[in-house]
Amino acid sequence: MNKLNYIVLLLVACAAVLFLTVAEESKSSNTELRHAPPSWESPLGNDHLGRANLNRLVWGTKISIEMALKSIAFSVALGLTGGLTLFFLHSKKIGVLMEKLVDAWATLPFFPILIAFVAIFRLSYESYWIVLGLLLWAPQARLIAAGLTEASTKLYSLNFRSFGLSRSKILFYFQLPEAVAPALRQALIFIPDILAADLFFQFVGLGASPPTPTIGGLLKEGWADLALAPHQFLSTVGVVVMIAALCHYANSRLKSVTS
Amino acid sequence: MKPSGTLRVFLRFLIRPISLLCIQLLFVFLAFSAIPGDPARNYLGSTADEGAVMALREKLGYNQPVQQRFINYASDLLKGDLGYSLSESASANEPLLEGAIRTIKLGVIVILFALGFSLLIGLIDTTFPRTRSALLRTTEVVSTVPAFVFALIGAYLVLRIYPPSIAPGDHFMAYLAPAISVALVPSALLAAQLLHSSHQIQESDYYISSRAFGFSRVRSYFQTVLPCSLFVWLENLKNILATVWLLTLIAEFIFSIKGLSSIMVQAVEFKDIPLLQGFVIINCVIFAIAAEFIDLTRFTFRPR
Repeated sequence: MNKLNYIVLLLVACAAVLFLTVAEESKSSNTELRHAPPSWESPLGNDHLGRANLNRLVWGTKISIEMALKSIAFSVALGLTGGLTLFFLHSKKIGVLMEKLVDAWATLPFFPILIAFVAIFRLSYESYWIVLGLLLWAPQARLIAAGLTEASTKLYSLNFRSFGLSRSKILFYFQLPEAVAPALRQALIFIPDILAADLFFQFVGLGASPPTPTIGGLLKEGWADLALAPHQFLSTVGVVVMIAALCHYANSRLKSVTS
Repeated sequence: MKPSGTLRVFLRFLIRPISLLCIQLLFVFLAFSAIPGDPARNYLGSTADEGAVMALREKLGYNQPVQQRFINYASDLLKGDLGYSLSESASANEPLLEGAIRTIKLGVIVILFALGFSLLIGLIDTTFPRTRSALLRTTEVVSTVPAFVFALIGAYLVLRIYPPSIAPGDHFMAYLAPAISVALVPSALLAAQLLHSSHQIQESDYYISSRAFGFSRVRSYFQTVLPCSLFVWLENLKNILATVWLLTLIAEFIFSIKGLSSIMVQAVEFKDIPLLQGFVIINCVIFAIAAEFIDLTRFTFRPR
């Protein structure tokens, strides 16, 4: 294992310890501690209502990551269904039509549509992952369909067929894992985008309602108080950067493992 | 009569985005037709008089069957009518187009800055080969950080330099500071791509030949490296359009620019569904035109 792997392992372990030790979300405010600087009692200081930043950051990260993971799991599941359908129908007229529909869906402007969906269907923050999954599935479907088409023309597919292996076995044991890996890697890269969407919701006034902490909400709050308490904004930025770095690392690891 | 080669290519370029845009507009219509409840009742509130709700429903055409509404929607769009804004009590065209122009101005400056900045990085990389590794690593690291993080920091710094009391006017230069404050990550993304592709080209025989003929590094860069990198560079620009758009909207929120983001907030706040629909339509159109424009530029400058 190289140094980078150790660093990542350390980061993940620290995050796990924090998630386990901060067992309860602190909602109590203390005006005497407003914008208090970092101390031993509160290592990341306190926010504008005197709540401990560390506690809110851990809970906010937990809530935002949960939403991001649900969104990408849903989008990959839909993308897999869509990709398989496109692959099986690609030589038929209906398949060509479906490809057009998926192309149009994949090129929709992501953020404006997301806001419009959430606003018109009056969704709560807990159900945003459904809209995110619905918006992100099309690029995954295109990737999986393209991967399956490419894998089906590879020499190993033809060899396995000549050995007498059935098409379904080749598909599920060899071609599908090869085609799903790029979609999973792309889904990992979507995680920072989902955090961006969270911040965007906060600006429009559609984010999680207070006092529920989310990464987007904490960034917006921290940004507003940047002159008074920079530690609040910088600690949230640190977490966002770490999440993005971990996603990129996981993406590159997955690439090297699957190749 | 068959169209000539160039015209045929141009038509092919035009047909695909138009067909995609038509499908997208159909999706938008279907999504807005599936809204739970009655948009007229939502806007007027639950205590509103039934007669007033009926009148508004009729005015907006919600009392008609879906197929008739679709025909009206399509014909209105063909006439350039983006619908009726409930919160403005007037056509949604004027606020949407005014907002779109401001957002486009801001977006164009972000893109131009990012292109110029990445070009400058490319030039420094060529002129001073010792900086090559440092530049590539820096741009790669910056581009892995989520764009909105640097946008918030950049906006904060710009606001410290230019106090918020200076309200931006409507002239082009007034958008410069907000645009630059959010343009760091798109610039880094484009620069990283440009550096990757130019490094590959600088290892090729024809670059080495041009240097052997006595061409300076800068001349070789502009004559051989840049034209060959342009295709990949612009392709990357197309891929980051969504990021640029998000950053533009965030800059509008922070610098109180009355662009499309303020229209969106207005539509969400007043539950103005027709205005929201117009907002989504105009976004789809801008995106389609921008992507097509980049594609056309890309293929026009494609090296053979």
